[in-house]
Amino acid sequence: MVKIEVFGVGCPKCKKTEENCKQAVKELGIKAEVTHVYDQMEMLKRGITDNPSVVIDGKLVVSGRVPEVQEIKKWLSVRK
Amino acid sequence: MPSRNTILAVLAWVLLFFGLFVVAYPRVTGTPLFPVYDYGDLSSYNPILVPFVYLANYLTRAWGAFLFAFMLGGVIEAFIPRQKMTNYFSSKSAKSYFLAALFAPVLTVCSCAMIPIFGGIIATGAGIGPALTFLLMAPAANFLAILFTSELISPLMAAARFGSAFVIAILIGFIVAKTRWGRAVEEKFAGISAAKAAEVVKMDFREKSVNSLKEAYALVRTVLPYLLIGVAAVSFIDAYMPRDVVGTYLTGPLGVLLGAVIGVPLYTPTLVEVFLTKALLNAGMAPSAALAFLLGGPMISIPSMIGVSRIIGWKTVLTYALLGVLWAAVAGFIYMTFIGGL
Repeated sequence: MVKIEVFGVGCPKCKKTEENCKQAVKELGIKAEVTHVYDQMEMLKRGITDNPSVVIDGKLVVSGRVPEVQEIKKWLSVRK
Repeated sequence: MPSRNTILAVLAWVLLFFGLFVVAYPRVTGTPLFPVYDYGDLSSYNPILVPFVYLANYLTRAWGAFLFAFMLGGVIEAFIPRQKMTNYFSSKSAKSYFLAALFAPVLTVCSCAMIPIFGGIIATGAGIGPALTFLLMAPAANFLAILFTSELISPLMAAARFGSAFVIAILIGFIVAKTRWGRAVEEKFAGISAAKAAEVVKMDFREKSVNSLKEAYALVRTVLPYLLIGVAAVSFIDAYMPRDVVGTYLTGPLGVLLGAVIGVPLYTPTLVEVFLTKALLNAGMAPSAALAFLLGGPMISIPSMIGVSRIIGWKTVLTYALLGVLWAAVAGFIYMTFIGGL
C-alpha cells in the first residue's frame, strides 16, 4: 500500500495535483491511499515550505508546482 | 510542423508581449489602441443594467492590462525558483528584511503558497520579522496590485502604494521580532529544516514557457470569478453612493483613519480593492484616504490572519494587525501633507 500525501490549501492548483495523483494511481492499477493535508502546522512540521507539494511514502517528490500524471506514474513505478 | 509544445510556448510569449503592447500604447501615444466603451452617467441606467455597462467599460478599457498581468503572473510562477529566492533571506540580519520586502511582490502570485512560504521563512532561519515583512508586502504591493493601481488610478498612487507598503512591512517585521511573544514563536520552531524534493526536475525553456501558460490559466480561474462578482458589486457604489456621505466621511483626517480601518472587515478579493477605490474616488474620496485604504485592507486580510494564527498565535497576529492599520493611516497622513492630489 503506497501512501501519497498532497499538501495544499484548497486552491485550484492543489486540487489539480490531487486529481493527477489519483489518475496516476488508477492508470497504474496499484493499491494506494491519496490524502490531502490542509493543516499548515502539520505542513511546517514536515518541512514543507511551498504548495502544492506531494509526498510519496514519506519522501517529498515535488514542491511548488502541479506535477503531470506521467511524472507521478514515474515516481510511483520507481519505488515499486 | 512544430510540435504542440513549441506552439504553446510561442503563444505564451506572444500573449505576454501583446498585452504589454496594449498597456504601453496609450501611455506613449495618448490614445487607446482599441475603442473604449463609455457609459456616461451611470445612475441614469436601469439598476439591472448598471453592473453590465460597468463591466463592459472595464473590459474594453483594461483587457490589455488583464492579459499582461495574468501572463506575467504565469511567467513568474513558472520561471522564478521560489526556494532559491527565499534562501537569500534565510539569515538573521537586516538584509533579510530588505530582501523579503523586495522579493515578496514576485514570490507568490497565487495565494496557495503564501502561508507555507511564510512558515518556511520563520522556521528555516530568518525568523518572524522577515516572514511578516513578506506576509504584509505580498498582498499590498504585488505586481498585479501595483499594475492595476497605476492603470486605474494613477502611476503616482501606484508608486506611493509600493513605497509605503515597503517601509511599513519592514517596520512591522522589525517591531514584532522585538516583542516577547514574537520571539517565543521562533523558539517553537527551532530545529525544523526545509524538506528538499528528492529529485529536482530540470525543465528547459520551452517546457517552462508551456508551464507559464498553464499557470496563467490557473491564475485566471482563481482570480477572475471573484473579480467579476466584486466589480459588479462595486458598480452600485459608483452609481448610487451619495456624494455627500463620501465627502463627509472619506476626506480629511477622518477619511484617512476610516480608510485604513474599513478595508479590514470589508475583505475584498484580489484586485477588487483597486476597483472599489476608483469608485470611491469618483464619489469624492480624498487620495490620502484612498492610499490608507489600499494599504490597510490588503495587508491585514482576515483569511491570512486566520491562516497564520495557527502558526504564530493570536497575540502576534493582533500585534501586526494593529500596527498595520496604524501605519496605513500614518502613510495616508504623510500623503495628505506632502502630496495631496492624484
